[in-house]
Amino acid sequence: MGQPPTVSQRNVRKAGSVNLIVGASGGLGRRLAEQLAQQKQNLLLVSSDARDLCALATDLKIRFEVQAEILEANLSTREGVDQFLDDLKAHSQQLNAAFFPLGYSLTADQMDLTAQQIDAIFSVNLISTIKTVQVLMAVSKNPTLTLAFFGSIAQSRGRNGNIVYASAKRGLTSFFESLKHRSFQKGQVRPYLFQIGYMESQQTLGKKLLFPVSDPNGVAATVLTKIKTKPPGEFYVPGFWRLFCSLLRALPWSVYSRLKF
Amino acid sequence: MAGVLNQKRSFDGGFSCQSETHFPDRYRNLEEIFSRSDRSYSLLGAGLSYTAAGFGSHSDSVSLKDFDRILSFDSQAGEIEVEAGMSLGKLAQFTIPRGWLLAVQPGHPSITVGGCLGADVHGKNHAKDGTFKNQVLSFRLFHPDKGWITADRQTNLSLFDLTCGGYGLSGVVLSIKLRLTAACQKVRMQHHSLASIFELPKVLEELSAKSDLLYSWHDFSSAAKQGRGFVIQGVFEPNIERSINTDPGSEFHFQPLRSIDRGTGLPNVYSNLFIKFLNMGYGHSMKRKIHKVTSENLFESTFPIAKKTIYFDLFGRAGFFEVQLIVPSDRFADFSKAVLAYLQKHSPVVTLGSAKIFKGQANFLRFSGEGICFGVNTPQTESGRKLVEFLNGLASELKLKQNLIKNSTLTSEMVKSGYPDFEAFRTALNQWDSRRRFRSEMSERLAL
Ligand SMILES: Cc1cc2nc3c(=O)[nH]c(=O)nc-3n(C[C@H](O)[C@H](O)[C@H](O)COP(=O)(O)OP(=O)(O)OC[C@H]3O[C@@H](n4cnc5c(N)ncnc54)[C@H](O)[C@@H]3O)c2cc1C
Repeated sequence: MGQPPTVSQRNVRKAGSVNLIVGASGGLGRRLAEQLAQQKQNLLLVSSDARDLCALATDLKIRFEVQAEILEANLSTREGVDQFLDDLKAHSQQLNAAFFPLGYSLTADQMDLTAQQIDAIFSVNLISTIKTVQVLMAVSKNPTLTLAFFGSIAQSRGRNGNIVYASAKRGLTSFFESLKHRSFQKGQVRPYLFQIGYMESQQTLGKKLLFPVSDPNGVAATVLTKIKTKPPGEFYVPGFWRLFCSLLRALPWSVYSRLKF
Repeated sequence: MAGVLNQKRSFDGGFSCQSETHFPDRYRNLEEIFSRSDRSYSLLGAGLSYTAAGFGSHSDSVSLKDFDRILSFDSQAGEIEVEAGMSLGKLAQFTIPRGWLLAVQPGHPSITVGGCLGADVHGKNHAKDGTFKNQVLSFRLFHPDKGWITADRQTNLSLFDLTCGGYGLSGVVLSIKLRLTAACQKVRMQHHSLASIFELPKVLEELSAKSDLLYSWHDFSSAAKQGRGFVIQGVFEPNIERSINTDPGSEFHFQPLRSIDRGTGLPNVYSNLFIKFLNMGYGHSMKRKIHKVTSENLFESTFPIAKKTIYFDLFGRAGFFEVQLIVPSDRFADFSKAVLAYLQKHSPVVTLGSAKIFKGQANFLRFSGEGICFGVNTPQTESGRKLVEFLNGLASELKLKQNLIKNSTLTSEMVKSGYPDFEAFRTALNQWDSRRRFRSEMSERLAL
């Protein structure tokens, strides 16, 4: 485990540090940005459309009197990710935490995707995050950089639906485990993985789902509380999904293979 | 972008249907929704219009609830630009502690600024502040066939005119720049009694120049009471100092209101006997306030109904009717006589009678003008329907302007006489958008 920050390091973090949110323009990312701003934390907001980012950053600056900078980035292509990483290097030295509430899925994700769509799903959900973390670890001067990843319950057991998306999110779980292992031995980062259950989004709109759908505001509050009060680790939000996903994984194949969901 | 098929209901319960609703939360989603050229659309604010002005069976609704950010704020000039989905409550929570207030606000803080612009609403002192349009400096609008357009009193003036009070039929207003007025911390409230409704125009006229908030309440539980009641007057207390209090606390707390939830599981409880009893209690409480000056907080006096929304629930699921119209002061006595005669003969249940004073002129379909803005509520019952038919008839006969956003029973034939610009509005709308991409139940019912 890394050393806890000294008092002076903590003060530095409070005074001028910034929280990076990749995928900030809507849903959970936007709610995280709002709640961090309410706590008077400065922000670096990233998403694919500057119009949303400008509106959000301006709103947060005016309402909460924080600093909010923006970076427009297309993380679905290799060139877009490279460009973003170049832009990010200029900002990442004072980072307090980096949040990655980004996700990209397609309804045709049942082995009906084009090669380009598969690349995009992997790029947004996994590769851009890994590359970003690598850059942050290289340039960040913060010895206890908090990293928050957002997985999905879809990755708990593969099924005929969201096939590529779930694979990418499973990859993210593995990446988090490796970082956790590394940070235990070498310090430097504090990785958190939040496996998010059903949450209100464009994807859940109007769908009849088996379990309650949570509100991104509540999820954001839970995430920030966990980061404040718990050591790094993997969390399910809401918590009952841990039990559900464990049961799903424990089901014998003869039963699981017959499930339609 | 997929939408959700959901049940919708006008606030008065007069119209309900299932239709698809889209909830874009990004600019790109918004543009994508309108890319289907075979659909027509309705624009939803908070959906709190009494009529179905933001939805219809033949159009997809687009809700702007996630577009609710502040885009600029000039604390010296008192100007703010916000996205159209921002609620009045959220806006007040930001501006009041900073010493500013939106001068024209309808009755509930859940109502959005987009909805206020769409219906060009009025507040509690039309004679002093005019309608919402007066507070609008400019707006940005998206039309699927025309793209993004900014309109103000210099640029695209005809679009500005068509859209403020255009019931969401000219395009999606995304952001609005508003003029604010200096806020106070407290409002000095005074109550004046009226022996009958006939005293109303004189009292309102006398008080209007000296008031920041001004409206009346009348007892119509029986015709014999002659619509006696009270005028409620609010005057902003000059600020001792304008301190920025950014910790709003519970001062701004309100119960959110949703049309679909109003009266859930309840029957109508209003009867003549119950109203007599209620009005007696309310009348007594008001009487105690006569000649006394009380001090109220600004948020509560701006939204007096916000903590009394049970009033609407007690109509039950079936709902209520509202008729609100502008009666020129010189014809108010004749109008009141006709109403009282009807009440005398038929004794319908009138749960509320209320009035404000209006000044100024308005073109197109804006509910504004010169006279007494008078409104009544009655439950959705047979006798209620008959009362509304009577009032609709009286309005047509006297060529009175009815508030289109409040009465679900209106047809184009009924309202044309009160709105001399009815055809001009329709022509301007068709010239602007010959494909008529935006429609609602209300626009179809009124053949707009
Ligand atoms: C308790 C209560 C008290 C009220 N008091 C008053 C009052 O004192 N004075 C008064 O005038 N009215 C009053 N009203 C009526 C209310 O102010 C109006 O009906 C208002 O338009 C409702 O706004 P909304 O946000 O609910 O919008 P909606 O009802 O959803 O929409 C209203 C209209 O605006 C259009 N619209 C909404 N958003 C946009 C947009 N972004 N771009 C373009 N068009 C848009 C819609 O298409 C629709 O035609 C009251 C209503 C209630 C429920």
